[in-house]
Parts: sequence; structure tokens; C-alpha cells
Amino acid sequence: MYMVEKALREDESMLELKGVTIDFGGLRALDGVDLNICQGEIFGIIGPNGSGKSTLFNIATGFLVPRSGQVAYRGRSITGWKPHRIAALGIGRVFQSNSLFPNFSVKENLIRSGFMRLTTGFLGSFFNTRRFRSENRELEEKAVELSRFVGLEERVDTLAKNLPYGEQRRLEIAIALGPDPDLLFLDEPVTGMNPTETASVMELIRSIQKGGRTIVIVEHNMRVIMGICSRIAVISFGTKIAEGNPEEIAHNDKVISVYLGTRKIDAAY
Amino acid sequence: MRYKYVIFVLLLALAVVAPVVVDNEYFTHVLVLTYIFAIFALSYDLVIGGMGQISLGQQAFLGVGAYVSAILSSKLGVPVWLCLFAAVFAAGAVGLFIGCVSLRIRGAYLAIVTLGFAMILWMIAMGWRAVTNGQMGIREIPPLVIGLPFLPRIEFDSPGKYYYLALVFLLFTIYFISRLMKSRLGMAITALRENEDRSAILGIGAFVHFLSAFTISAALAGFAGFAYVHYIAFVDPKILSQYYMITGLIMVIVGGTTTIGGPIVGALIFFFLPEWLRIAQEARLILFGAMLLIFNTLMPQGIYPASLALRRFVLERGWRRQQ
Repeated sequence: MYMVEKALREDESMLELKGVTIDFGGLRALDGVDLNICQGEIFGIIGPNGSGKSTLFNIATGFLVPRSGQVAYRGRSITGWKPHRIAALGIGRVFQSNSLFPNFSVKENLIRSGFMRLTTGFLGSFFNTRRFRSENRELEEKAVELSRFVGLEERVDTLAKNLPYGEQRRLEIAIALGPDPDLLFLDEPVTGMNPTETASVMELIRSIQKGGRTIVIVEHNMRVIMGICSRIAVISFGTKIAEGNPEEIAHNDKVISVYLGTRKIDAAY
Repeated sequence: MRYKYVIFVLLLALAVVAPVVVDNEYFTHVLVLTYIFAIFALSYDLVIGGMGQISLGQQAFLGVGAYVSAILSSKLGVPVWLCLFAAVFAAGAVGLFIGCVSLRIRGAYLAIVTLGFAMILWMIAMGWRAVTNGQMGIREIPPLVIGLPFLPRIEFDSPGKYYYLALVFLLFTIYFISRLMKSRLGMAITALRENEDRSAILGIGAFVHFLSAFTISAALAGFAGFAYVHYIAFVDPKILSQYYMITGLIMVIVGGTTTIGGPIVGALIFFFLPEWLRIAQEARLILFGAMLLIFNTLMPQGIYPASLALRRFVLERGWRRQQ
């Protein structure tokens, strides 16, 4: 409880969305959404399909530019920034659909995930300088370490596209951790997983948070959301309809009506 | 790993003794052309295989390199090795400009825009007669010379003499490309090729890295143009025509993209297959076309990667039999 209260203090705000609005050809996908994600928490976003959750992620990571509204990271406006510049600030992301480097091995995938740590230019590579070699060795070590962290150490030489689905999702998480982000967006990390795999990914997400990272997670699996999030926002038809801790959300009438429908039968009588 | 180096050294030794053993000037001439166009194909593969983008304008950079060096050396009397830098720099600059304009788009659009730029350059070479002599072309381009103090002056004016220089050029290119692909830029473009969105979230911006690689590829094609023009001693606007683009594409695609061996094997096939087919004089080009078709249908990934896969297959089967 102490953690949550501490996290909620204004000055600890990490990512702030203010009045974010976006249209897709006349359809309002998000309408004035405010969110405030605090340092160190696991923040859940739920809502029915098509309610705008992934759009929200795309805006926060720079893949979409909002029509109006502000996105600020640690108090600094990043509205309209390109994705690779936002990534350089320390914001990572796991995509909803598989988005690995399919024709590279697990190790090569993870080596590329540390791209931002590379500093030697082409001349260093051309003359194969000591600095170039030591930097590459470090990247490789970090890649092996990451593979161990997500339990893929025996798969380092397997091509990413040949991994089973559950391991591909784990690799995705490992790649997202490669740049060492402070804030990590997870877009439906356990979709299509069996209960055992789900439980192990939940464990993984908790250990990532314990490493001092802030996590924002979109997920349909309520067990996951209720089990790991400290706060949850509910989005429906592009607007935020509720926000609070899991307990509050589970008993919120609006949320229940969005998911289960209102009791129209009563009204008819 | 060591196995690879042994093969490389053996092939290199073969290349060194080839003109001595065969002792036929025409054969040496075809080999020189093969090496020069292997450089061109390698530069093209940086875009096709490395970046995974389709450009149809690579001949523009070959032509710019060739023309710049030809004009400077024959009309202005600039020393040939200075022309090398000018040619590479000019081709790179043109690549930078074309890349700036066209690399914001991808796929078929990129292909059309690059082709358009190459055609503009062809028109300039045709029309700007005062400088390029138009369709007449530029003749009597001085050969490359090495005139170091205390050493005899070498003029590379015959296939036999130029052969080893071309081989050195090719070796430099092979080293250059292999180091480039291991560098930060090489990592970036291959990541972008595989998955642009994923790369972006790892901090790899598409435009800046694609532009750098495209410029380097252009400069390398300019280098091939330089090597070509001082060997042939003649240049006309044909070097800026689609013929050379198709030549490069065939080498890259038939040989195999994304490998260093691929474009080189492609260049060998492109130059030597028609020579061997001389036995069937009239049907030569038809047979050549048919064989390219067969190669591409049977080995869509290219001859070089297919031969690697075959070797792996044979080795594994042999290993299994031993068990």
C-alpha cells in the first residue's frame, strides 16, 4: 500500500497524457483521454475490443500523432516525436502481434536490441579496433544475460521464426528490455497462452517491475490484470470511464455495464 | 569458421594464377569485367539485400562515377588517382541527394523514383554535349598509372596488367562490405529490413540509416564506374541506361542477395555463361535467358546461398551415415 501511495505523488509522475484525441477518417478513436502513470507502478489498461487501447499505446510511443492533447514524459512534452527518439528516452514496447526479427537467431535479435549502446562508428568496425570488439562483446554478453532472464538460454541459436509461440512472446519481452527502458509498454503479452505460460509471464512481468521499471499493460485476461496491476484504467469507445485500484474497478458499475451490459430486462418491466 | 577462410584462400589463389594458367587475353578481359561488375553488384546488393529496398537507379551512380572520372582525367588532365576520390565523392553526393528525396517512401514508389532520377542523369549525359560529348561519348580516357618514386612506372593499359588491380579493387570491396555489415550501420539496416516498427522502438531510425547506407552504396557504385571507365578507356550515355541496372539486378538476384559470395557468383555467371554458350551461336541469348529462368525457379534464394545449403545437406548426411 505504501508503494502505491508513494507512487501517486504528483512529482513522481512518469508519463502524462492530457486530453489526447485522435480521429481515423471521421471515427473518433480516442476522445480527451487523461492518464497519469507513476514511477514504479504496473498500470493496467482494459476495455472492450476496439475501444482504443492500442491506439493509446501507439500515441504514447510515437507511432501515431494525436489530433489534440499532450503527451509528456518526465515533465517534458514528447507530442509528435518520432518513435526512435521516444525510444531513446527510455521508453520500450512489446507489440501486440509478433514483431521480432524473424530471420535472425534469438541471440542476433537480442544483440540488435542493444543497438543504442553502440557508439563506435564505421571506422571502428573497418579497422576492427579494440573498442569496437569490446563493445560487441558486451552486447553479446548482455544478449545472453537477457536470454537467461526470460528462460531462453538454450535457444540462443534458434531462428526467431522457428520458436514456439510462447517463447516468441518471451523473446519479444526480452527484446523490449534490451535498450534498458525505464517505462515499458506491454500490449497483450499473454494472448493465446495456456494457464501455465500465463503464470510464468506474470512472474516475469513482476520481476521486471522489481528491477525498477514502470510498466503499462493492456490485456484482456482479467486474472493477469487484477493480479499484477496497482492501478487500472478502463477505456470504452475512446473515453476513459473509470480509474482506480483493482478492487475499485471490479466493483465499478460503469465497468460492469460495459463488459456485461446493463440490466435492460428490468427496465422493460 | 576456419573452413570458410581456407576456401577463401584457395579461391584467391585460383584467381591469382588464373590469367597465367589460361594465358588468353580475352579470358583475362572477361575476368576483369567480372571483377568490376562484381563491385557494382555488391554495391547494389547493399540496397537490395542489406536494406531490403528496391532501387532501380543504381546505374546512375555507376554512370556518375564513370563520367566524373572520364571528364576530369581526359578533358582537364587531373591525375587519375585524384579522379578516384572525385568519382566516389560525386557518386556519393548524388546518392545522398537522390536518397534524401526518395527514401521517405518505400516499395514500388522508391523503385520508380530512383529509376526516374537515373533517367534524368541519362538525359543530361545525352544532352550536355559541351561536357559529355553527348552520344559520341568520351574517348581516350587515360589508363590508371602507379608512379611511385624509385619504382618503375606501371601503366594499367592492358587486361593482363589491369587484372591484378581489379582483383585488389574487388578484395577491398569485399572487406569493406563485410566490415560494413558488422558495423552499427549494418546492424541498423538489417534490423530495419526485418522489421521497421520493432527497430524504431529499439531506437533505430529508418531514414537516417537508410540514407547513410544508400549513400555508401552509391559511392561504391561510383568506384565501380571509375574502375570500369579507366579500363575500357571510353564512356558513353549507355552506362546510365537501364541495361546496367538490369545487369546488376541479374547478378544480385541470380547469385543470391544478402551474401557477399552471391553477387560475385552472379557476376561470374553473367559474364561466363554467354561465353560458354558460344557453341550454340544463334541460340546463345535465348539459352542464356532460359538458364537464368531455370536458376531462379530452382534456386529462388540465389545460386550462392543454395550451394551453401547443399553443402550443409551433404555434410549432415555424411555425418549421419557415419553414426
